[in-house]
Amino acid sequence: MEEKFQTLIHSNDPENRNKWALEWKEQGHKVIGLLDIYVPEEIISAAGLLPWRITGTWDAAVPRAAVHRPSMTCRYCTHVLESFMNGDLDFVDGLVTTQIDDDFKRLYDVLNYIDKPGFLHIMYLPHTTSKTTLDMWKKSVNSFKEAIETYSGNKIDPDELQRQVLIYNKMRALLREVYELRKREVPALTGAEALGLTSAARIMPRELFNEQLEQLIPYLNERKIEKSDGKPRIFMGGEWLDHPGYVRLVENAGATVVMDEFDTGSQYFWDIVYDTSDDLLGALAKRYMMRPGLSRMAQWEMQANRNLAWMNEFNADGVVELRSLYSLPLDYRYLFMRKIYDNNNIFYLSLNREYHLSGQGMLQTRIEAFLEMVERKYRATSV
Amino acid sequence: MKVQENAGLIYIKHEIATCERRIKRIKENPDPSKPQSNILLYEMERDFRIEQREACKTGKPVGIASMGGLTRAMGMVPWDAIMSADRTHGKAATQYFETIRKEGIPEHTCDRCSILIPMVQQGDFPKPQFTFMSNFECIPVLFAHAALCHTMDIPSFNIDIPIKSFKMDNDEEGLAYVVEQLREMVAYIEKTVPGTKYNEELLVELQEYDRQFLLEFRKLWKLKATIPCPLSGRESFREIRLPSMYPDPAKAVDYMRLYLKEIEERVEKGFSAAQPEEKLRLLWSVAGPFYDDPFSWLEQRGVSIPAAEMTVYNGWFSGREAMWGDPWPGRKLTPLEEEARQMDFVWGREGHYWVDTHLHSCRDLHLDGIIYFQQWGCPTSNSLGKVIADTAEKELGIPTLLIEGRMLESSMFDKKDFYGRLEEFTEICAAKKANRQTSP
Repeated sequence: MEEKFQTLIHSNDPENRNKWALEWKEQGHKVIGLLDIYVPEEIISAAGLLPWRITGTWDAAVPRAAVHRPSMTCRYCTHVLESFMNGDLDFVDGLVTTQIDDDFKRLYDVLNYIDKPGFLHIMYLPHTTSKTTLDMWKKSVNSFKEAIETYSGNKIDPDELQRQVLIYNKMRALLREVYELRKREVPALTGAEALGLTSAARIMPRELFNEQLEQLIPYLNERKIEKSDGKPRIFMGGEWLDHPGYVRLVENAGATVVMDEFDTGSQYFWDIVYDTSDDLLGALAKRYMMRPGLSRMAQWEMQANRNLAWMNEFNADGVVELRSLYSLPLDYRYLFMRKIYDNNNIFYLSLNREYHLSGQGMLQTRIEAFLEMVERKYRATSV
Repeated sequence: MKVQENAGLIYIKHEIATCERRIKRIKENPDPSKPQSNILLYEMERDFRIEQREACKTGKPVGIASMGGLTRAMGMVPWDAIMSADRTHGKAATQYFETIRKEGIPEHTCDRCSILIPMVQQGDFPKPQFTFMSNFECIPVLFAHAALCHTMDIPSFNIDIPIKSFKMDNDEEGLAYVVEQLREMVAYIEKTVPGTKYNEELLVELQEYDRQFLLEFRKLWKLKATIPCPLSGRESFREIRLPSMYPDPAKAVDYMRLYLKEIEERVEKGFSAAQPEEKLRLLWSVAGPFYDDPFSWLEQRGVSIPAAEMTVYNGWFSGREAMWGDPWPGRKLTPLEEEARQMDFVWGREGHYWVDTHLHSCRDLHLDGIIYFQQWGCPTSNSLGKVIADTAEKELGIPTLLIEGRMLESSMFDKKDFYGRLEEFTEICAAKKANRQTSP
C-alpha cells in the first residue's frame, strides 16, 4: 500500500504529470487547463472534458516568457507562459481562468495574443462576497457553462452535472478525511505528501482518483510519519505553491507541517456543494465563491478567522508562509495577518520565494531560526 | 512604525507652502515658457489642501467614494492619498522606501501603492473616515487601500468592476451591477460615517463641472495634434484632477479655459516645445522616472511628447471613452449611473482595450514611436508592453521602446543607461520615419 500511496503523491512530478491527460486524449477527449480554484470543475467534467490544473515549468530559465513578462511579475504566471511557449503544454486544448489579479488577466491577454491554447475563457470573479456580487458571479458561471458547451459541442445534461457534483463532493470528503489524520499527535502524512495528494486530485480523472484514495484510507489510518516528537507543529501559508520541495524544506528544517491554506492544498477541496436539488448552477456558484478564499478576495477578516480556527483545530504552534515573489495580493495581506497573529500571540514567519524551487539555503536558515524560537516557547509552556 | 495619533497634516502643510511659493514666483517673476494659468492651478491646489486641513481640525469627514463628485455629494472632503503619493519623489520617496523595506510593506509593487501605506500609517497624511476600495483602476491600488483599511481600522466598501468594459460595450448588465454596489455603498457611508448624507442635486452639479472641464480637454486633444506640438512633455504628463475634487469647481473650469487659450496662442505663434525644431513625436506610456526630467532632455533633441498614455485620460480627451453626460443607447443615465460608468477605466479591463487606446493616440496625434515605461511592479501594464510593441509595429510601422524603472524612487536609477537607451531609440524612430516618408 505504501507503494501505491507513493505513486499517487508523486503524480504531479514532472515525469508523471502529463500521464492522465495524455491517456484522456488517447480516448478522444479534450483537456482543459486550469490555473486557480475558482473555476467550477464539475461543469468541465460534465461536458466530457478533463479539468487539469497547470503546473508551470519547474525550470529556473523562462527565456520565452521573459519577452512578454518583465521579471517583477507573478512568477507562477510567468512559468505557465513559458510552458505554453516552449511546447510543454501543446497537448492542452483549452484554458479557463478567473481574473485572480492583474497578472492572471494579462497572462490571459498574452495567451490570446499568441493564440495558445485553442480555447481560452476568462471568468469574472468579484473581490468580495455579497448578494450583489454573488448574483453577478452566477451569471459568470452560466456564461462559462455556455462557452464550454459551445466548445465541446456537448449540451450539458443536468443529470450528468448532478452526478459530477457528487463525484467532486466525494473527492472533497475523502481529502477531508485524510486531512483529519493530520490533526493527530503523530500525523499520518507529511505536509509535502499532503500537497502531492491534492496535486494528484487536480490532474487525474476524479473518479479514478477517488477510487485510488478510497483504497488507501484504511492504510493511512494506521500510518504514522517518522519522528514528529517535540517538533513544532506548523501551519503553512502560500499561494501558487505546487512544488512539494518547499514544504519538505520546512519539514527538513525541523517542523511537522500539520495544515495549510494553500490554493493547491486545503482550499481546493475544503467546502462541498450544498443544496443541489433545484438550482444546481447556483449551488455551484455559491460553493466556489462564498468562502473565505484566497488573498485576492478582499475579505481578509474571514481568511484570518478561518486560519485561526484551523490553527486551533490542528493544534499548530506557528505559521510559516512562503509567498510567491511578485504576487501582490498575499504581499499586501501579510500586513494585516501580521497584526492578527501578533494580537493572538502566534509566531508568524512570512518569506518570499521563487515559483520553481530555489534559494533553499537562505530559506532554510531563516526557517530554522524561526522554529528554534517556536520550540523555545513550546518547551517553556510544556514544563 | 509610529502610530498615527494626530490628523496627519505634514504633507498638507508642505503642499500649501509649495503652492504659495509657486504662486508668488509666477506673480513676481513669470517664466514666459510656462503657462500663466498655472497661478489658478496652484491656487486651486492650495485651497483644496486648506480645505482638507480645516476638515481635519474641525472633524468634518474626509474620505473618498468613487471620484470627487460622489465624495462631495456624500458630504465628505476628498481624500487623495494615492495621488499625493504620486507627488512624493526624490529624497522623500527614498525615505519612504527605507520604511517600506524595514516594515515588510510590499516594495515590488508600483511606487505609489507602496508609498501610500507608510505615508498614511506614519501620520504624514490624514487618516480618512471612509475609503472605497476598487479594482476600477488596478489590483495594486485595490490591495494597497485594502491593506490600509485592514491595518488602520478604516471603514471601507468594495466596488467591483467587471473584467469586460461595460462603458465601451454599452453593457446594461455591467452598469446596473456597479450602480447597485454604489447604492449599497451610499447607504453604508450614511450609516457608518457621522455627518454624511447623499445629496443628488450636488452630484448632478459637480458632474456638469467635470463635463465642462473635459469638453475643454477634448479641444486640447486637437491642439496636441498640431505640428509642431505646442505642449511640453511635462504638461502632457500632468495628472489632472477633475473640478469635483476642488472646493471651487467653477474655478477649475475657468482654469482649463484659460490654459486652452494659452495653448491656442502658442499654436498661432507656431511655438514648438521641441527645440530647435520638432523632428519626432512620441507617445510616453504608463509612467516615467519623475525624479528626473527625460521630457526636457528629449525636447532639447527635437523630440516632443504630445501625450502620455495613462489610465483613462486619453480615452476621455479623444472622445473615445464616454464622459459624464455623453450618450448611452436609448436613454439618459441617472446620476449614479453616470458615476458608475466613469469607474470603468479601460486599462484595468481586458488587454485589448489598452492596446487599442495606444493605436488611437498614435494615429490621432501623428506619432512616430512609443516609449513604454515598464514601472516595476505594475502587473496591469507591464505584460502588455510586448503586445503593444508588436501591434504598433505591424499596424502603424512605428517602434516601441520597452524600458523598465521606478517612477518615484530613484536610488536604483541608472541615468547613463536610461538616457543611452532613449538616444538609441530616437535614432531608430528617426530612421523609421525617414523610411515611411520615402516609401511609396
